[in-house]
Amino acid sequence: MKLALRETVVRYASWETLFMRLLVLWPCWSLIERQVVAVQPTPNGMAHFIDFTFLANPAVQNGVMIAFFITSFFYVIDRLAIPALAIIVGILIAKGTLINSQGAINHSLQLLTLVMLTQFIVQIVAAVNKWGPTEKQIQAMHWTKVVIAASYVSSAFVKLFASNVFWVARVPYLALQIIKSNLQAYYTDLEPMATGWVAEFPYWVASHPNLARVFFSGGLLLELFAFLLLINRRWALAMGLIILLFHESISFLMNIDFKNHVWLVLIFLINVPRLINQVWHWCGGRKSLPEFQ
Amino acid sequence: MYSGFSKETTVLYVTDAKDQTLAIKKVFRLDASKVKKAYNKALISICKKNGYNDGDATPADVQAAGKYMVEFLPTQARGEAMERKLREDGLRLYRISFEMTKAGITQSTALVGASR
Repeated sequence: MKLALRETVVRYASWETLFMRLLVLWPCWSLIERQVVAVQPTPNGMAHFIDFTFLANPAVQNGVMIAFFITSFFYVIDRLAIPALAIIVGILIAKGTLINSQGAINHSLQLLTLVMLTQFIVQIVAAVNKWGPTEKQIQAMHWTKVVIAASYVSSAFVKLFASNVFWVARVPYLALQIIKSNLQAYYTDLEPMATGWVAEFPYWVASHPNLARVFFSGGLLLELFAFLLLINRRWALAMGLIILLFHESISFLMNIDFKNHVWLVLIFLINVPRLINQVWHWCGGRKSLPEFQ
Repeated sequence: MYSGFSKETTVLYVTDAKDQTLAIKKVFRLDASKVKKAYNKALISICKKNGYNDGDATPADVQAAGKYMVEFLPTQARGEAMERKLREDGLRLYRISFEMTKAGITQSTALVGASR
């Protein structure tokens, strides 16, 4: 059997791309509805040039939410998608910049914003090249997956560069990071901390350094080879499920939230609506929805 | 997962005037990790002004970063009433330090800032 490890542009059905556009709006909405404060004490990125504190004004916040609803509608039906996506991306960048200008930055918003920016760029390329609506959406979703894969691969390279390639050797120090993350989660909400083996895990890591190295190397390899998700639908599904497991296990052990990443994996890699359709079909339901259109 | 690991780390927590630990997210529009990042950023900036990096921070630098934080945190309070109360009553910022040694994981706690 010949194993073809080539990138494939998956020919998604139009109902699949419709669901993808619809579902990706949920993580966008959860960012857009987030309350922000009217200060940017430590400007980050564009906040060095623009004062984004106006976004904390309740009237502006309401206006932003209304603008998001209207532009989302056009984005989903794929009409006037370029201005619609320009506004959505603009809102995401502005709000994300203000959130990341409070003295502490985090990367939970980056991939989501990058995905929407990618779709905006593909819309422009499609307009320039006069692609039809089906081709445009297929390319938009393909490049979305490329960006998702690239984000994981670059994350693996950052680990290797930041540790001078000694990331695996330093894994036992991860024990302190696990303790730190769990304590930070505790001080955030004062909810009772995990007990039992979860609480003991960092001490196990510290006392079994080589086993810990083997255990955590899997995560690094997964990120390094994330580009395999571009081979075809099955690889995307398989890699999506493993990445999901990867995020959920880190969330469980370290109390770190990967909500946006999980959403993107569920929508673009696991492709949940198609999975449900396939399972329904395999279980003897009515004929599955068309693969191509 | 983390890109780089160190053999030591710190966690910050905040208490009120009666030294009762505060649920950071309930009181501020932040979580504990962001409080730490903001503190680190302040410490780095203070050390940079003094001509060295934060790895060489003196106790005075740590206290200066702590002072900045207890003044900064009320600006992140949920609502003006909460901000006023925090400013009037005061806040304390504690730092728990963890270190991995050959003997295992050690920890110590220090007060790094108090506004009253």
